This record gives sequence, structure tokens and C-alpha cells, in this order.
Amino acid sequence: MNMRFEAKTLFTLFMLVVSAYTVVSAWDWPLGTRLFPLIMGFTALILSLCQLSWELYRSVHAKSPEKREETGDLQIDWRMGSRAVALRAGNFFAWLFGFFFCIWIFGFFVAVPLYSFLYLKLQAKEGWWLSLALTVGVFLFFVGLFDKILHLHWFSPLIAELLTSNK
Amino acid sequence: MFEAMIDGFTMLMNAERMFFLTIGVFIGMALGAIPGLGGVVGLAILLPFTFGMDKTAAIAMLIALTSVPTTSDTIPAVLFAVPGTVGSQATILDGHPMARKGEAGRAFGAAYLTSMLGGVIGAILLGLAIPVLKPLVLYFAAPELFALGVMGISMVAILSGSVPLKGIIAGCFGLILSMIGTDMQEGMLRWTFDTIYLTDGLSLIVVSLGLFAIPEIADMVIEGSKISAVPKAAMKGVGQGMRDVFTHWWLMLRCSFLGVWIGIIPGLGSAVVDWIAYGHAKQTCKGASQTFGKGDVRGVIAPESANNAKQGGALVPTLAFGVPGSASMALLLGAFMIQGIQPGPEMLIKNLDVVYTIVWSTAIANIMATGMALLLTNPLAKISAVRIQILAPLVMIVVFLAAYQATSSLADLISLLAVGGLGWLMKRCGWPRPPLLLGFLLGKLIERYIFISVKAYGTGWLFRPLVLVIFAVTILTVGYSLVQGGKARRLTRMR
Repeated sequence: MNMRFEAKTLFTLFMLVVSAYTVVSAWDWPLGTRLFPLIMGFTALILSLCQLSWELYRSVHAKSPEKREETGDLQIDWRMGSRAVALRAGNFFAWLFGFFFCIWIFGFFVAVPLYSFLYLKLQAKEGWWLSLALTVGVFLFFVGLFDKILHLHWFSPLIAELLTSNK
Repeated sequence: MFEAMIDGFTMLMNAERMFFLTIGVFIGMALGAIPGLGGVVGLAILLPFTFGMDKTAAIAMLIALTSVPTTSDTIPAVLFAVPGTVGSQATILDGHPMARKGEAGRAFGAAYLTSMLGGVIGAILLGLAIPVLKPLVLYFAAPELFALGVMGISMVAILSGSVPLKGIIAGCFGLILSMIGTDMQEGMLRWTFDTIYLTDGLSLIVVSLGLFAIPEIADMVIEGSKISAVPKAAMKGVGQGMRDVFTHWWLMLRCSFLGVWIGIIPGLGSAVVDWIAYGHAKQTCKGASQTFGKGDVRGVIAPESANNAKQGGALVPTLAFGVPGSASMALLLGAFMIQGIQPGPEMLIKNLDVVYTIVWSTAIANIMATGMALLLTNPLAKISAVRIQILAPLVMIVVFLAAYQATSSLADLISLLAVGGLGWLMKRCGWPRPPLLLGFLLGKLIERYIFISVKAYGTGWLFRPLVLVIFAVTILTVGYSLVQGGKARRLTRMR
């Protein structure tokens, strides 16, 4: 028996686990609170099981590679190999998480220009002038709109918390 | 009525009032183009400035500000697959692929013209509908709103392409996500994991940005391309897009009427109007199951006409009954009261000229917004030829700030990253994202109205005539869509 387990089956498994968790966690709630989560959870659980069974069945019995399904969503360029996609995605999400941690530690006022400049210089490999000009532009837009006009409430960054607690 | 219409127009035709209307259009356009903001933010900022202003000028400015963000929200939706406001989520599905094919100009041309026509149709219907629709709108109680919610959810079947099972699971998952937070029936906390942030549930802005903006930017960066995959010279222009609107005028007209109708119903939410219009177009347009989602201009025309027309509809319950159907309408209601105008049935008798000033302001603002947007179209279309590595950090900063301003909490960013990761995996693993978003949008509404219906009417709510009609339409719609989908799949297999 030749079974070709596809990575995307893991996502179906994830949906199954989430549905099961929905049902289990809602079980002991009062009727009014649990009714809707249970209906949705059970529906998702049963359908996820059907989907998973179908994918496993197909992985055993399919003779030719499966055709790309039409999901009604935006299309993807499938010509790139999955290893290259995983590497580049890892790189992109690493930058995003880096930006997030920078915001958390230093706050938006440092993180916005820092992320913009470093990304443009190191990742996009742009020249000094373009990187600096775009960074200044983005920073002015950020301060002008979100701070001066919208008066957003900014959380206290980790470094400020540490400095004030040491005083 | 005709006299009041002329009076309303005359009141508006004054240099100072037109100046303030133009200011409203400018601010509304800017807010629509920046993801996460929109008319509510603009109203909240400008409302204090209207104290002491001329009544007509203040109303014209605020109406213009709320009418036009749905015109400019197309810009980030088409270029970056980032919804400018919640009303442009469905535009992404075909608008962004058009930009990828080098047809950003065409998508903008079609979107702006159809937005203008939709907005003007909405204004005309607002003017005509107020006296006629009063009894019908008052007949819409919790059971009818629940039935409409179910009708909205049934769009999942249409938005799932050839994977209806995955679509339904994704829809259920969206409904589950919408239940996070405080339960309205018992006051219990659901899946808040002992955090204060989750007691109010997940923010719609965060979910829609995470589900679409992050995955699309990620994929463009991964592919290392420009937004447009074809050379600059091959970009088709605005004129073609505008001609497309006239070619598909019947679709534009249908979706505008649909938008007005959805806007009239308080509480259904402006966020679903574009999805319902998109689903309607996908279901009724010839060959849509093969071309929608790949850059079909009809997939831009349908949601864009509906989301601008909705504004006229949303003003009906606000003006005629003093019942605001959304946050922006609630703020507008406050602005009217500041100016000494009490919306409600009396307004239609005592201040009919003010009602028509609002109608004229809506129509003129939409025309002005389209003019401004068209002037910007060609420079904007050129952005799609810029390398994505340059645009990605700038767009991501705006996306992060847009998500953060939802509740000004660091947890907004954690949610954004989590939903972004989920959205990207869904896309890569062949799971449709629109059903998840639709489930999330309608989940709270459906749960609230079913409980109210059962408590107020017992099982009797099921037999209310309008509920039966809506359910019948829903069943017919889903049945028709499944049959058509089956036919399309068989045809694809035969080829």
C-alpha cells in the first residue's frame, strides 16, 4: 500500500483538534452559553472527520497526483518548490516577529523606523538614501497621523517598565 | 416632496457649505485608503468641530465623510490585498488578481465608477424610499434578522469554490471564533483564557487584516515579485474599467439595490454587504465559477457598487426612525442632535428639506470622490510595478498600526500574527478564507437573534411570513448554487 501523506493533511488534523477542543471545553457551560458552541463544534468535528478520512483515503488510493482544487480564494503561484516556500516564509515571518518583539521591547516610536530601515537595507538591499528617505517618510506619517491627529494611546514598552522599576 | 428636494439642493449650493463638503470628501478619502480607519474614526475626530458650525455645512461635511471611504478603500484592497475598510474585503478576491495581471488601472476605473453610480443610486433610493419603507422596516424584528443572518451564512456555499466541505468547516470555525468573549445570554466568559483582552472578543479589524493582509504580503514576498507580474506597459487603463461598468450595468444596478436593502436593515452590518453582493454575482454571472477569484472585473463591480449604495440605505432607519444601524450612523445621529435636529418620523414632516440636503450631499460627495480618485488612479496603478521588497515593510507597518488602533493593546498584535499565520496556512493548504470571515462577521448576530426570537415568540417565530420567505429564498439560493457548482465541476472534468 503506497500512502502519500501530504503536509496539508496536518492542517485538516489541526481543524479536527480545534473542533474537538471546542466541544470538550464547552460541555460543562450553562445551556445558554454552550448551545451555539456545541452546535458549531459538533458540526465542524463531524465534517473535519469526513474531510480527514477523505484525504487519507485519497492518499492511499490515488494513482496520479491530485489536481489543484478551486477554492474560490486568491490564487497561488505553485511553480516554486515547497522547500523554497518554507524558507522564504520562515524569513518573512521572522521579520514580522522581530518587528513585534521590537515594538514590545522599545515601543512603536523606535520599532517603526528601526524595522523600516533594517528591512529596506538588509532584506530589500536598497541603497542608503532610499532606505533613509522611506524611513523618514514612514516615521513622519506614523507620528503625524497616529500620534498627533488620532492621539492613539501607546502602551508602555518593556524597556520603559524596566527602567522605571529600577529607579 | 419635489419642493423640499429643490430646497435641499439650494441650501447646499453655497460656497462655504460646498467647501466643508469638499473637506469631508478629502478626509473620508484619506481615511478609507488607510487600513483600519474609516468613517467612524473621521466622525469621532470631526464631531467636536461641528459645535457652532452652520447646520447645513456641518451635516454636508459629516455625510460626505461617511459616504466616501468605501470609494478609496479599494486602493489598498486592489494593490496589496489589504482591506481599507470592512466594506472592501470581497473586492480583494478579484481586484488584487487584476493588479497582479497588470490591470490595476482597469480595476480602479471599474471600482470608482461603480462606486459613484452605486452611491448616487443609494442617494436616490434614500430620497424615494423613506416614506414608502417605513412600515416594512418596522416589521423587521429579531426572527427576520436571524433569518437574514442565516441567508448571509448560506453564502459560504457559494464562496467555497469546488471545496464546499472545507468551506462549511471554515464557516463553522469563523462562527466559533466569533463566540470568543462574554456570552450575552448568561454573562459567562468563553475561551478568554483568563485575559481581559478577549472578554470583548476578537476585533473584526484584526481578523480581516490577519486573514487577508498578512498572507497576501507574505506570498508576494515569497514569490519575490512586484504586485504586477506583467510589465508596466501592459497595464490596462482606467477607460477599459469604466467601459466594463457600462457593459455590466445590470449587475451594477442589481448590486446597488442589494446594497441599499442591506443598509436599510439595522444591525445586519455593513461588513457583510460586499460578501453578499460578491456571492450574488458569483452565482448569477455567466461563467463566474471559472473566472471569479482570478481577476474578473465583475467581481470588483459587484461589491463596490453595493458598499457605496449601502450608505443611502443605512440612512433610512437613522433618519426616519432615529434607529442607527451601525457605529458610524450612531455618531451621525449624535451630530444631528448637536445641530438641534431630532431624527425620527417628525423629521420627515418638519425637516424634509434637511433630509434632502443629506440626499444631495451623499450624491455630490460620491461624484466628487470619484473625480478625485480618478485623478489618482494612474499614479496609484504605477505602485503595482514597484518591487514588493520595498513596499512590504511600509505596508506591514501600516497593517500593524491599523490592528493596534483596534483596542490600543499589544494583544491586538499577537492576535494579528496568530490570525495571519492561520490565514497563510489556510491559503497554502487549499482552505477558502472568505467563509471563515463570513462566519466571524455573522456569528454574534445569529446567536443573539435566535435567542431573542425563541424567548419572545417561542416556536412561533418560525412561522412569521417574512421569515418563511427569507428561508425559502435561502434554500433556493443554496440549491441553485450547488446545482450550478456541480455542473461547473463536471464541465471542468470533461475538459
